Amino acid sequence: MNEWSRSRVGPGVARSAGAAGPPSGRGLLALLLSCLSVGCDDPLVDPATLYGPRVIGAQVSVLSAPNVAEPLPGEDARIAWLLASADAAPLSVKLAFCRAEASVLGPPRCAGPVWDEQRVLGSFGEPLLADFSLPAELEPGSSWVAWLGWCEEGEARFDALASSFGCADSGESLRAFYRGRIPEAAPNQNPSLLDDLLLLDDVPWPDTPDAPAAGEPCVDSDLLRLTHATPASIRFELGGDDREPLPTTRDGYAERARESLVYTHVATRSGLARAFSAIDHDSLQTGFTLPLTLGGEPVPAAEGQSVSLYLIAHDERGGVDWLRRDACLLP
Amino acid sequence: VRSIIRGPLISSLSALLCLVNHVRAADVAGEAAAPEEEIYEAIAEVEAPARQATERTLDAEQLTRVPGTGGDPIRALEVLPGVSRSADGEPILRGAAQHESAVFIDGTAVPFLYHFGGLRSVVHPRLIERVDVYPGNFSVRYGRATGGIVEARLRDPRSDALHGEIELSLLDSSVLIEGPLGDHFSIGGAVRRSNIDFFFDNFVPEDSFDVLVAPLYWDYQGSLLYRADSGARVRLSFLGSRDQTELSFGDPNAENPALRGSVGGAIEFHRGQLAYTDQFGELKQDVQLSLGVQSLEQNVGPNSQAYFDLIDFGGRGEWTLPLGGELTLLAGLDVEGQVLTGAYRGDAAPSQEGSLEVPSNVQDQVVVDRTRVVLFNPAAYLEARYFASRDLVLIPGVRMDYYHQLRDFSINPRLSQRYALREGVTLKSAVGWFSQPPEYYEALRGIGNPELGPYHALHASAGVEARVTDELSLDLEGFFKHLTERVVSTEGSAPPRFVNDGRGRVIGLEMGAKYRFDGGLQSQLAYTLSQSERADRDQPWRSFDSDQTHVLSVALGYPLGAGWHAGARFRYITGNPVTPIVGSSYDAGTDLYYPVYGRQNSERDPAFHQLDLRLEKGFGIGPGRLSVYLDVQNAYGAENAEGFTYSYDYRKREPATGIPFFPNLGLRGEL
Repeated sequence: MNEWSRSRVGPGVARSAGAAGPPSGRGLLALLLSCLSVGCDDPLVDPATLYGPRVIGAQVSVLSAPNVAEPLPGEDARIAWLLASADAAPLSVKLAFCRAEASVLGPPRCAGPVWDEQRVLGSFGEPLLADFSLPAELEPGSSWVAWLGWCEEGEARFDALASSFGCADSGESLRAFYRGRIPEAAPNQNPSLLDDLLLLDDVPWPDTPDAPAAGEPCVDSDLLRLTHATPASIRFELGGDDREPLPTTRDGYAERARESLVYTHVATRSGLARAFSAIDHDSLQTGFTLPLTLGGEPVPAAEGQSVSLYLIAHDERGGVDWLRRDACLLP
Repeated sequence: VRSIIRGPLISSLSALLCLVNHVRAADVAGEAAAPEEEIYEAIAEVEAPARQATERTLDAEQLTRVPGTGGDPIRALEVLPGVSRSADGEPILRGAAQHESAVFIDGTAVPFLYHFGGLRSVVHPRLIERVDVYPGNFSVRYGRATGGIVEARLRDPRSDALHGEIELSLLDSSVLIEGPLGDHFSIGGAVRRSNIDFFFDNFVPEDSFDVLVAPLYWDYQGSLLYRADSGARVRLSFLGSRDQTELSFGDPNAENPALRGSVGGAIEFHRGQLAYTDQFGELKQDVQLSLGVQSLEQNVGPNSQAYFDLIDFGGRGEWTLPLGGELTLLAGLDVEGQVLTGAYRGDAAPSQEGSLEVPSNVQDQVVVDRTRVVLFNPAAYLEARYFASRDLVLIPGVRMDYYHQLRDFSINPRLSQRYALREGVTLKSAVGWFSQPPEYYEALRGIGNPELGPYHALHASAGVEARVTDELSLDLEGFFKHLTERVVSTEGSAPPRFVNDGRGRVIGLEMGAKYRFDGGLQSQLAYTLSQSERADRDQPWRSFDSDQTHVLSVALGYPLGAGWHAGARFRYITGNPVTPIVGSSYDAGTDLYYPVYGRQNSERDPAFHQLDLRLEKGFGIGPGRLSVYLDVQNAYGAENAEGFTYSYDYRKREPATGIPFFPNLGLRGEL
């Protein structure tokens, strides 16, 4: 914008002060022009590739009803975090839970003291599970936050004032949060990828729990094959439509009759055509195709190189599910 | 012979008499050789008496020849002292945020001033007679602004003969036509349409998006003037404008999945204005009425939509009555109103200044279902112009505004003085209280705070204007502003979302110089040294978002002869403050990264510098004239940093650069 051009801060479309928020005329078209630039810029870092440690998802489920994503006050629930890296390694993360302020701009902040803090051990590429209970005094419509902190060296410490984890030592660090809401009506459900169809070059792509770790030789495994620098495609098709209906009112403006589903796809090797796909609430399509060409350096050796792909589904209301598939990249 | 003399009353009349005598003498001397009767015309455009301590005016010729503005008069304001560099053209006056200043076209505020966020102003440049800039301490005639005032005055349609003009450039094409209509009427109008859509497809990166509606703008202006023999004038004017575009993204944006699907919108306004001026004995009356409509539609992906339809109306009545030789009283009514119907689904609105950018998150949306808002802001003002002595004029005034939406009012007392220290040297000073209502949505229940009140500013300034020689004039002025009860966001925009809890202070010194060299070379220098700061809620003082410590502009214009005219403008400006990003937080529920900011506005972009050039060649062809011009922005291709572009996770960044070398070639035919 920026135009035309305000200081551009942030990925994607930079926001003009006048363009965000209710319309006032000032700056609207600046926003539109800023959108023109979006397709022109190559991202500085490809978000579809795992270059290092990264949080790629978190799923909350009620213990007594695992498909429910919004626990009620006093209910026991589980949060599963998925941290991925180009190579699998053990890790230890810290979690902190607090009630959230009623903010609608920027990351949430704690509205009170932390009511639960946990250390969780696991490894990259595997879900890290933590059980918790929501305080009974949370009111419908209010929010809570689960914070995650990971430090490459040392242990993450939660700063309640800043509402964020920090690391005492230098090195890589990760900060993430999941914001949950106390439902005022029927609670949201997590989408499910179990019944969906995933094809690699038109061949069903099965789960392979015993696959070699990413980057390891794989020519002797049962993994589906990909050839270096050769175009291929991934096809995703909904098995059942996970887009839950949403409540509407007669006078509601631009209401959606059901959820949209946004899919993040990241791989341990670069070459996915994009990082996101979507099946919008009004879309008649129930699937998408993702082209990929895994090229670049280094060219895998004759024994092949295992490549992991993570597919994470978001329903834009906090419902999340993910799956991981592995393939063998041959020279 | 047609000559225009511009200046204060006495000097203009003197110059006019000299011209008439000169012409008569020439006429007598050439009587034998010039048997045919000739008509000589001389116009003295007399400067109106000052209504505030500082008035800065650019006339049409200056405006359209400022390099780098594409001939756009309103963008040319940045050659004046006190005017900072603005990325989108909306003026930044004496360290005030853009929304704190008001822009008028012929006395009426316009909904938006530029096509596509700064590309072109919405009025044909050849219809603008002059632009007045009041960077602070403005008259009580103006209100609802705590910064400054810019007023573009449209000229009357020409009444001597039929005239026309066609202009073609890469950006747009326009037609202007004007002329007399009987003895008492003259009529004129212009239409303009962008050319961008004709070649836009060539700039669209393949596979990025589909163009559903290529960017398009158009505007029109028209006026009908009636001059009665009694001196009364009635002018009926119309203006309107539309911008639109729509793109379709096949896949979500690589960095923010919320940006997907269709992105586009349209904004349009039409306005009619009736102005009536008459004199009843000593009493002079100016009355203006305006009525217009606006509409806006916008959608950004599947989750953000808005529309509004708006009827706006306004009126101003001003009566001037001299009471003896020393005192003139001026009373006025100034009314503006809007009836807005609209709906909105999207991000919560940040504060208009001082908000740190955060990504759009569908989980944080606010919704306003179809709603109707009535805004009605009447005001009354009284001003006196009192000559305490032959050299000293005092201008006290008071203005009272009522804000219907806020159920609140403000009273603004102001005082200016100008003292003629000696011939050509004037001392000036002013102090005043200024008030402004919040934007309508900031006080709208549900998404704003209905308990908001107006916010205020104290302005104080003092300076000197000196005509050192006939060629050189100087203007030096210091200013101070204190802002109070500014509307700022609450932390995270939590309810009540906006509060009157911001402060501000601005201090500065501005200098302007004009020099006309022998041979016709004209130069204009403007330099402003200032510091503008803000404090939000209980936060410490920080730099204003567009604080620019040094703003230097040098503009040159030179008639080369044989119809050639060359111009250059150089600007050197301190870089805007930026807030460093020191990390990021990942929202696992929506797959978005949020920046973690360091101290707000604690760093700066590198200094901005740019040279703009303009070359124009005019040809006389029969009764008409053809001009070809080349307007070059950023002639030496300076890579001026305008903030940073960040990676999706804010771990990497690279400077974002502003406008590159940008030539615009145009052709204009006049009759």
